[in-house]
Amino acid sequence: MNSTVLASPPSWRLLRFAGRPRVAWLALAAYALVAMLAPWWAGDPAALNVTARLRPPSEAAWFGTDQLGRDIFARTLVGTRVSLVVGLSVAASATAIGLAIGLAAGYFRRLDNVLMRINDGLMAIPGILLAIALVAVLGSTVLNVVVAIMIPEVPRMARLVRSVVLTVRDYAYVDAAVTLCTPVHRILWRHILPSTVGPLTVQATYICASAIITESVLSFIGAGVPASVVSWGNMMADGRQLFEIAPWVIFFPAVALSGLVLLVNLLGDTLRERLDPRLSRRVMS
Amino acid sequence: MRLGFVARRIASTLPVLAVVAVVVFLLARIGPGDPAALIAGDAATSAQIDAIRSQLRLDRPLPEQFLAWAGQVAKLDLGHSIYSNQPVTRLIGQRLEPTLMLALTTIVLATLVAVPAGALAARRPHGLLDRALMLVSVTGFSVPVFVTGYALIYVFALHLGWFPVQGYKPLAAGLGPCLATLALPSIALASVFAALIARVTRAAMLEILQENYVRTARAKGVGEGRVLMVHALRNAGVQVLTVIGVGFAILVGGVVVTETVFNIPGLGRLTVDAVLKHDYPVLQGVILFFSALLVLVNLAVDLAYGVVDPRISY
Repeated sequence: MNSTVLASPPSWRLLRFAGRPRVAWLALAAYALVAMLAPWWAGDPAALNVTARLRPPSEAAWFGTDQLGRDIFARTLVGTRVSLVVGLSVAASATAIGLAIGLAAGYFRRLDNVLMRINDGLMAIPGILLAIALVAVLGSTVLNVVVAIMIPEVPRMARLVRSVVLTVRDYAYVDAAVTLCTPVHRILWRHILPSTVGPLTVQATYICASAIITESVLSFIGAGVPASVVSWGNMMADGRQLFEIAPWVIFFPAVALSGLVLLVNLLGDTLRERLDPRLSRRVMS
Repeated sequence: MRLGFVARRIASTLPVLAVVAVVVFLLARIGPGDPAALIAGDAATSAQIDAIRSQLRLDRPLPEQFLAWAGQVAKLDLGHSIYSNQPVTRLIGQRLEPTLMLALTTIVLATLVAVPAGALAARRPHGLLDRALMLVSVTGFSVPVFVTGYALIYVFALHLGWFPVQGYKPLAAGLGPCLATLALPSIALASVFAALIARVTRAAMLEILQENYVRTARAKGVGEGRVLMVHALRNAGVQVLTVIGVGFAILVGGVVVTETVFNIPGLGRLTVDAVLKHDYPVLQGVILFFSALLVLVNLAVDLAYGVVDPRISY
């Protein structure tokens, strides 16, 4: 397991590694494009049209309409924004905080015990329950949802970073840097951090996928983003009672959601295989 | 030596449970709004609110409140629901059976499907079965539980009518009807769990099948089935156990969703209802329960390592 870290290439080479599969990348880019252009292109997701309620997919409404006459096509496209924003924000923030904690715990022996105990405690609470409780307590806004989903993800990331740091800490070049009286922050930044980038990136993609699912679950049970924000989870919650007579209300956001998460997970798998097959044991997806 | 390890391992769960207790306690305190006013209701006078506040000791410093609360929890008194005024422990006890049945059927189903599938896929890496399994497992892992649930309802309950659309029949009504109501929910939930288990089993078996003892067994003419089951699979036990421990947390989350989709009156539904009504005592109680359960499961997994792999001795 020790030599796993040596195989991790410098950060910028990761981009070249992630070349294939091209189709998955194109599809992800399509999602991102939709997310950015949707409000201008797709039509108004909140436009009520009570005369056209629960119409099945047709020329006028490509994906049909929901019980308030809103266009499902527009809502599905606009819903991409929330999912991507939440997914990327959670991944970025959980990575940053987890990195800081992991570096501290791995490098400074005295902090290790305390930090890891708190870590284990946080990991003992099932993630979704903690997220639900946090949203219930903090209130229902997109920012709170991001924070609520991020907090349970930090411990796993911290653990991962810490395990890499523990391995790298004993390497000869770190020893050399210490002997040369290199300041601690320099050692951490230049010598230890680069080795964490590989596993970090792979885990970050999995966190992104997991965050997208969690956000939709939270919105589905009513403990997520407010109803005024268009989210796939919200759409599916709206369509719950109508499933037997109007399945298209749930179908299209469900497909969009599954597609996005599938693509992100595939991306994570590809990155993991490129970096080092043996990493797969360390990164518990 | 063995007993010492067990004792130490059990002792190490205490700091974890302590952190969980602190987090759960703080959850109800960090929100905006005054808990006493919430409990008193809209029409209460400020005198009534003050009375409730001193009754619940909300005017005391936080550490004192925490110790009082922790003492109560240790005596298994989780408080009363704000909404229905029933003791939380009774609410949990009432909803326990459906959730446990669902979790059990899910774990059994997932393990029975995933372990053989992962083992078989590992025999020919990157072969047809392997690629198919990897694709199916990534899909199973990516498609959210409620999407799978609705798809299953649509096909098997609404169109084919093989299973009830929703609801739950308790064991008291007979094993058959109970399992019939649990069939679709546990398949939906097991799809995620099985995906995880299959991936890990396959990864473990990929390494194990390269080992010398497997080659020896095959050279001795041992049938392939016996090679897989008796010689190879056992060595994957440690990793499969790990993933079951890790997957349990995911299972808990999935249970919450599945019970909402299929209208099963279990602990997941209790959680969702508590959240929507801001019923903090119930929410705290459920989180404590599930966290303790998770800690227990991890403890069991750690202790089981020594049983499954005789090379590990404590």
